[in-house]
Amino acid sequence: MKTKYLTYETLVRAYSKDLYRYAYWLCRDANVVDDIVQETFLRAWRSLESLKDNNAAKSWLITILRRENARRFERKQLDLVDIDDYEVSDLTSTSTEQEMENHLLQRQIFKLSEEYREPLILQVIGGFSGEEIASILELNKNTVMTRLFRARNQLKEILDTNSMQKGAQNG
Amino acid sequence: MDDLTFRRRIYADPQDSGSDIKSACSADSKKAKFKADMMDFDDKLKNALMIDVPENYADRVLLNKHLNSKNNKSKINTVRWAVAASIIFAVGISTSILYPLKNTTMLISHAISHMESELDHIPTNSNYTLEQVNAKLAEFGGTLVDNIAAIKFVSFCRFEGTRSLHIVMSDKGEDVTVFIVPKDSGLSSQSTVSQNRYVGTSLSNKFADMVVITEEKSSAEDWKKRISSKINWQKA
Repeated sequence: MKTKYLTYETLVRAYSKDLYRYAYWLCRDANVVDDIVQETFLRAWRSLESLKDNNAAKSWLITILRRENARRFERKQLDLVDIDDYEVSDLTSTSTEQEMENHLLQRQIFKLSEEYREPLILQVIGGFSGEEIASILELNKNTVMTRLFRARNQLKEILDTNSMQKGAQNG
Repeated sequence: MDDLTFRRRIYADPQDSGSDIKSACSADSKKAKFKADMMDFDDKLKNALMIDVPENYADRVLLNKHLNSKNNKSKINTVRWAVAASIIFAVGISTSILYPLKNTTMLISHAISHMESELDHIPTNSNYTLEQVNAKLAEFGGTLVDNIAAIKFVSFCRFEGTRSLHIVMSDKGEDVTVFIVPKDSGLSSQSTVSQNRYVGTSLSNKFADMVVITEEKSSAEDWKKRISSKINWQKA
């Protein structure tokens, strides 16, 4: 039992932050993020014996979290959030240009459709390879790479357009 | 590698350092610059995605597991107690003695035990805003209209299996614990309980029970009045 708890604690300390961030970008509702992550870890505890390879722990936890998120939708259709009203981690003032750019990017990431946003989060936050993302999302690798291409392409275009507009205003 | 393929590959993964990508960059400075630009963009993207995570988050997750296990044990104990109670009942103790006993001990006693079990896990330096408290309190139909004291902890918890809210306030070095427990928890509200060195008192409204716990030297009753005067109850 003690060994099980030590394994569990190691997993929580290693991955709870990444899972929190992943849930945040996945479910788009800051109020339920904590619930999803807590429930994910409770389920992980209950089925810890099924984790055979510690190297696969992160993708295993992500899979549990995705199922948990899907269950929430089955139980209750969450109120959809109006993106334009939704402030993203806007606790600090966006005074510098870098902060403003950061803020703009966050809003645009939320506006990406889920099929583009999710592989991007897995790649950038999770550090997963194309093959690993394909396995987690149960897609083929080409589809994943196409979605990643489109996700970055959309975000980059918006950011570049924004920079050009600012340049025009300043110039 | 043609330009379109190269761009698609880099857009999909700016960190791609496959040998064909490396060769393409060596042979064409424009491609090398494009890759460098996309890696810069990826840094911005990572920065945007790495939102702040609540302080001591891993500890909160571990605490939740600890409480969940405790609740499960408590349920088993409740079953044992129920079996024992049935036997007592069978030998002739009347329900008029049994039910008041259950109703006057469950809610606050459980709340005090719950609080004691997680004392070590309450962060000492956290400070939550009114908005953060209200985001969770709203689920129970309540709104805290004004700051009463510093809020050092607010989190959902399982209260005998029922999703409840756990708040810890701090005022002049004194901690005050508040639980908001939905009416459908199956537990009845009660007046006052002293347990170990704590005093708990509760207040019931249409939507939820509120339990307030302080140390014995302090006045849970006063705190209950102060807090209840600042919460508006209106179920959405």
